[in-house]
Amino acid sequence: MGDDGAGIEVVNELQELALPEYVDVIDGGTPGVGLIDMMSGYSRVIVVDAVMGACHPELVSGSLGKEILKQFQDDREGDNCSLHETELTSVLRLMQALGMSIPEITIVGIPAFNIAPGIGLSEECMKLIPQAVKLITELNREGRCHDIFR
Amino acid sequence: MSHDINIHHITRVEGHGNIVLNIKEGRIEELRLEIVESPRFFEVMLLGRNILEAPPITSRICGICAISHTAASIKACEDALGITPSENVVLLRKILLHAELLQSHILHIYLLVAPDLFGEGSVIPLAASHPDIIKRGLRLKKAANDICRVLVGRHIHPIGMVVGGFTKPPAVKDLAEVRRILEGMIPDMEETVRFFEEHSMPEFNRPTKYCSIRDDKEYALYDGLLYAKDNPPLEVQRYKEFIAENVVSYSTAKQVRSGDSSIMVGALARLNNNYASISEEAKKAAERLGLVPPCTNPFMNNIGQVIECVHSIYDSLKILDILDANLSSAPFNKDGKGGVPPIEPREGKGVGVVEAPRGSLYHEYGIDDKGVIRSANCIIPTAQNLLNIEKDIEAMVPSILQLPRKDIERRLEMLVRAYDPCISCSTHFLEVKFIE
Repeated sequence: MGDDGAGIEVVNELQELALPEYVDVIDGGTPGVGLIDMMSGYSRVIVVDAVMGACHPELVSGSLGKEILKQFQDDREGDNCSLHETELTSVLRLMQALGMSIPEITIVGIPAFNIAPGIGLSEECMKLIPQAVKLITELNREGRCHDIFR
Repeated sequence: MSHDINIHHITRVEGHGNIVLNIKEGRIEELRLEIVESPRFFEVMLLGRNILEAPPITSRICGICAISHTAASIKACEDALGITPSENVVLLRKILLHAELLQSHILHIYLLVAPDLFGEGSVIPLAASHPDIIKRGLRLKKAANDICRVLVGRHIHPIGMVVGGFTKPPAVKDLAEVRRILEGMIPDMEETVRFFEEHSMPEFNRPTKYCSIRDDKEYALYDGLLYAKDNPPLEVQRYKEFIAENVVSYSTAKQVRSGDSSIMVGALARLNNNYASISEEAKKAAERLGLVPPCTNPFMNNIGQVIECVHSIYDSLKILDILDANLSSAPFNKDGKGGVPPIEPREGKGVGVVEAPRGSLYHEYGIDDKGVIRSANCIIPTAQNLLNIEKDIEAMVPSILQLPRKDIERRLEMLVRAYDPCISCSTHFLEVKFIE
């Protein structure tokens, strides 16, 4: 589905790099509640994925702070959603409810320009892949993130 | 008494559907189970593709039962191409179907059904009040996922299962790892049976036509003849004589009949048809849980899933014993090199049927002499159950009309949920609307 594969492109590039041994690069796929097992035990996680609705053709990044997690506690929207639609926030709410330790999470979003059926990324999206790889390796070098996850 | 019930978005089911129920003076005037998700068009996507692409494409129909779709697709391909897989390949496919059944049923009974047993609206408050229960479910699910990961690379959209065999046959250490995981699941599975022993399902009985595959030698999930009581068993290639699909205007999923009857597929149907073949450990669980076939209470499908989980663990261990013995004396794939035999295209048609966690799953492809797909048909378990759910609602509503409206809605949702529908796959489902 075109630019929906942006995260996988970043993962492929990162896997070619010499990264510290405490860093795991994982193609997460669409695991639903399986995200819990993927994130458990890590202190920090960087989630890289395509994003829709970005205002500018630039990378979007930011940390999922504890204050946002607190807001989840009051937000029942989506609790009853189908397990096919279990996304990161639903998984974090479930981890919170279970009293599990939640890693620090940084999101790196790559704008999707074209998600029509087809193989490969659009030219615009492809240009952002090296930038995303650079941003993630810098975050890691600065010691701001210890684990990488797509 | 009059009600106009609109359950807009039935909760804790896979996908989106609505129940529309209009009752005037105690009589049902209108009843619809509306499937409102967009059609998926997978069959159309297959047209013009090489038949060997069908398994990885159709695997994407579902993020939960991807292994079943892959297996049904592979079987259809092999039927069309005249390929007979080795015994070891078939045995490994059977373990994978068990692992998928385990992860799918566990997800349903712990994350979607268990909140009802505590009167909770979702798994989140139940996770906060009873974390040990949910953690147990998540442990079991992870274990089942791990089996798939060890054997075919990952638990969703397997990459190791292909037409003719496996891209990488399992090593002895892989099978030992799968055995260790299965044996590790037994204490949590025992607790699961104990947990459901302490909770009862609503009483409601309506006999229907229970459909599944059946095999005289074993509890059929991978292979067998099409079976329903009072029907002659049929080869899967004759499935159009067994079931028929029809389109209804209010649903993006087709409905399915067998003869004049609605049908039920899934755990309860399989147990009703094949109870004699289930493992002794699962029979003991069935007796403890009060499900001794024939059972006509659709709510007991949840309990049927627990029983099947027990069976899947013990049957997988039995299959591993056979595989261990076979691997020491025979190569895994037919070419003896660990690879998949070369495949020659030919014109033809092929049908593949397996028991997915939610019921019988049919794939049929027609190919030309270059192996290009010219026709495709996939019949998904949830679509087969939809008409039966409508009939159940119709039969159950008069007995619950005296209840407060919220309780009627809750009971209707529980009924639909008991079928473990996967609307996203069937869209080809849930929201209840009351009219007063």
